Amino acid sequence: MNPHTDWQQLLRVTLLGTRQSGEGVPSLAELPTPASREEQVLLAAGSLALVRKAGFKAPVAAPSETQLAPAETAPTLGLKGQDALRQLLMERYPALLSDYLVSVAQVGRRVPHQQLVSLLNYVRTRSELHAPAAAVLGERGSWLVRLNSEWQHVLAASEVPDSATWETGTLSQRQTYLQTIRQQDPAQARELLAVALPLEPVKTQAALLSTLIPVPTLHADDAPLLEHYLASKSKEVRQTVTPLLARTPGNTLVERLWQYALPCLELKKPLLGRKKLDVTLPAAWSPAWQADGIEQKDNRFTGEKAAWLGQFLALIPPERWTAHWDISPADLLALAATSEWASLLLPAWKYALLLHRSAAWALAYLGLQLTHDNVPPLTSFQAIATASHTEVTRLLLAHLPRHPRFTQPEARWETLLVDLPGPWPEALTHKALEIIENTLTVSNSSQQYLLIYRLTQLLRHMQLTVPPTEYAHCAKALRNLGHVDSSINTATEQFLSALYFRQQLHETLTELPAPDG
Amino acid sequence: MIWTEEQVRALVTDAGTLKRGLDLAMPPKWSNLGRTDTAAWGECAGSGSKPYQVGIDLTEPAFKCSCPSRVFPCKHGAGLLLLLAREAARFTGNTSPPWLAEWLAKREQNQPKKVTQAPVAKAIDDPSASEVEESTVQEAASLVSEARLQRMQRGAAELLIWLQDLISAGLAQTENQPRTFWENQAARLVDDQLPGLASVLRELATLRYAGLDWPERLLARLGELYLLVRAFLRLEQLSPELQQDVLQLVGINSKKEDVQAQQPAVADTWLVVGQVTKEEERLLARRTWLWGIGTGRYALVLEYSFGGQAFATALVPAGQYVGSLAFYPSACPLRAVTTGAWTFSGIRPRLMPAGNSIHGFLDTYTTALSHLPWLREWPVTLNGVIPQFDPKAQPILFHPTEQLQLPLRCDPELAWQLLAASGGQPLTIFGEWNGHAFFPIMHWAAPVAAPTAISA
Repeated sequence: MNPHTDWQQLLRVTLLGTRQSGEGVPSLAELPTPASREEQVLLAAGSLALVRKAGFKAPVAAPSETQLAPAETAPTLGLKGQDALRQLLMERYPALLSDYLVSVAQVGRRVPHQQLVSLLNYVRTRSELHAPAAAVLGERGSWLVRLNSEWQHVLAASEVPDSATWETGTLSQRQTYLQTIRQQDPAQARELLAVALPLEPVKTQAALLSTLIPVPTLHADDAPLLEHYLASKSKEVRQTVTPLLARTPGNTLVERLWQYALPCLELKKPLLGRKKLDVTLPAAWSPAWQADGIEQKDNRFTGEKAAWLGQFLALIPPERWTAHWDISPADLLALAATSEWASLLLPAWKYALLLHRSAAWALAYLGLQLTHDNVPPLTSFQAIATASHTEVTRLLLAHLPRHPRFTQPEARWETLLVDLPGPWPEALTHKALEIIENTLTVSNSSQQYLLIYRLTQLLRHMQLTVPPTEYAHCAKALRNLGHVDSSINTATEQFLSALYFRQQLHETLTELPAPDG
Repeated sequence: MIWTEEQVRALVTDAGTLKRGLDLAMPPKWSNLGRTDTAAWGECAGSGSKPYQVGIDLTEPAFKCSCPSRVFPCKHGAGLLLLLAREAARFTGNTSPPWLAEWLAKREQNQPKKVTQAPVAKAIDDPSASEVEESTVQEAASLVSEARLQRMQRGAAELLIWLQDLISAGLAQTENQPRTFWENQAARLVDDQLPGLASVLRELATLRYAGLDWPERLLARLGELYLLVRAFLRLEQLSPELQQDVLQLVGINSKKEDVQAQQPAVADTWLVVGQVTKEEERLLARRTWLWGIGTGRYALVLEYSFGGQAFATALVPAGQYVGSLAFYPSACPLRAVTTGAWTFSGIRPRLMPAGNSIHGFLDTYTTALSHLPWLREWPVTLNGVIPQFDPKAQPILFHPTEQLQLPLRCDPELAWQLLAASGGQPLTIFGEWNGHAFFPIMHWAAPVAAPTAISA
């Protein structure tokens, strides 16, 4: 008997069926021979299966080069930290995971071995989490990642850039590489771009040039390269380069644009009566404009000629106008809002203040948006990227009515409030609680369901923005309200749970480490 | 005593309850928290004006709550246990409130009763048992009635003919057969009171989706089934123990109460070395492997839970219990049921069963097979094995001193978990061997000196 060959033979017979197969059935000498061929097959199958199990021989393996994971150098999370991480990986408060991983890395802790696989599987497809996760993997995690190709790109973001990626990498890898180099050595990055760009298709040119946008400051030395691509035949490349060049110190573009735009705007200051902003649209298209990055058509603005002026205004630093006429941004924006060209001036200046990060203009613009209708709004995120969080919050608080509440239609301050990022100062948290209370107690039953929905949105936003130290205050205020109107109870409890959870997350950073396993 | 969420999960079978419990596991919701060595309690604010009184008898653990929920444990019980796991320091009270003392006293009184009486039939004893419940009731302790045996043997003989037809037509044919091809024959077997054989057929129907080597596996299983049917047809010639096994396999289950009443109780301190919970149509099946610290013996406690009810015996991974087990009669006794008092005595995460070498366990396995050829899962603890992936990217366990390897049968995530725990160092792993591959269930890493200081 040879269990292996007999088994293969038996398998061939049974796949085909005894009716078709002419092959013999392996016989087992020690066993009785049943009457039918089918029973012979079944008996042999059962016996051989048993023989194969009982006689299983573990394959001999040569001592392979077992690579050992290096010893850990950082302490793990404690038990509560592990518990919290498990909940985050179960998608409880997914918005908190990234920040938590960053804080874990900041305090020099790492994820324990038994949670590495779930963390890596979770972040694998979420590229925004790659860098935060890579920082908490510890030695064991990095060792593990190197063994599994599916996880390798998790580490890619945090590894030292390799010059080969610039030559052979994907577009996004090249962009990352370029950004890293630019932070370390801007001159080298300029050099790389200058050499590589002429050889690239226009789409790639635009994509690579756009990597200059998030870098803190543009340098005067960037101007020649950008000037060169301002003359590109591709609209996409020109539109990438123009705003960058307008921000580059010592550029000559802004001055030319200023000369184009100056005749179009006039501030009239009569001795008596009000000031007035007059607009004269450019009379005809000038081919010279295209060489300065102005397009004949720009669908951000309505009207052909208006679009030309709109582009000038969007690129010129807005402070030039206030300095030129010696007027405050608030006053000038107010005049723009009452002008018959408001729908051109306001969006154009909104682009300009965002492009040039003008804090004074941003605050003035927010002020306008909170007092006037039909102003294309800045979002809270844009506002705090331009002016400071404190200033924006102070402005919002100043514009809240004495007894604020949600109304139908929405008040102008509402959108700004429900997406203002955290951490909120105490005053704003208290105002938000007041808004919830006022909205619930001033009843207007016909629209109550709409207001409840918006209150739920607000509470959901507050989960992430209210500092956890406000827990007790919020719990007291909101639980009392639960008796008035139970319709927001679920949202309230979720908000309080989230606040409490965030407090716990914070505490886990100083907790005693727990052993791995 | 350290409870982890994983252990709480073993007690809270209902996923919704566990999730709501997690929401409740925060101190602000609770008042009057307290605990003793054997109990924990607290009051949880609910939607009503009066808080719910929640208590846990930690010796089992068992739950008590004044809320109207009929799920046990309810979300409050789950929340309190999780809170105990996370914030034990907040349980400052040390005198049980009257309502708790009363409940604990009542439990104390009922305790001896439980020894003789079957546990409340909250969870079904065995799903296949329920199919034949009526008839087994009459048969009581001994074997089967003559009439039933004849009916069963007639059914078994029919199955033999069906099997021969299958072999005659060829296994390649079965790949295209509809589900009903297997299902119809399984239904006939149920009618002939052979539910055990019926469930084997239903399992065979799923094999063709279970990998490229399905014909090989199907052939082996058909052969085993054939041997089982032949053995059943000459039942009286088998040893008494093997008769019990064969009857069990064809679908006549010994009743838990009979096992408790008739089998000798094996007293020991038992460690839960592994637990596998699987969802089978509408119910949860849980295999819990215990290892007796004194006897060095493995035992399998098989339980079923229906509709989110708790399992009849509270068993948590790495939990240690003092009590007795009664083993089901078998030529290779593994399956067991608790009998008499069963006391929880803490979580022992670092305690592991005595381990085996690969050679050693394969020898024992062969001996076990010679006693019971239809043995499905053989419990084994392997010492000093390193999880790896072989050149074909299949997970294996490598034993460096024996220079042998074993194939692993588990999903890739579990294999990576093992790798993460090992870091290239040997592990001790408990799992099940099925004759071809090893299914890992629990593992212990050698304690590693890791930095524990917190950097400022």
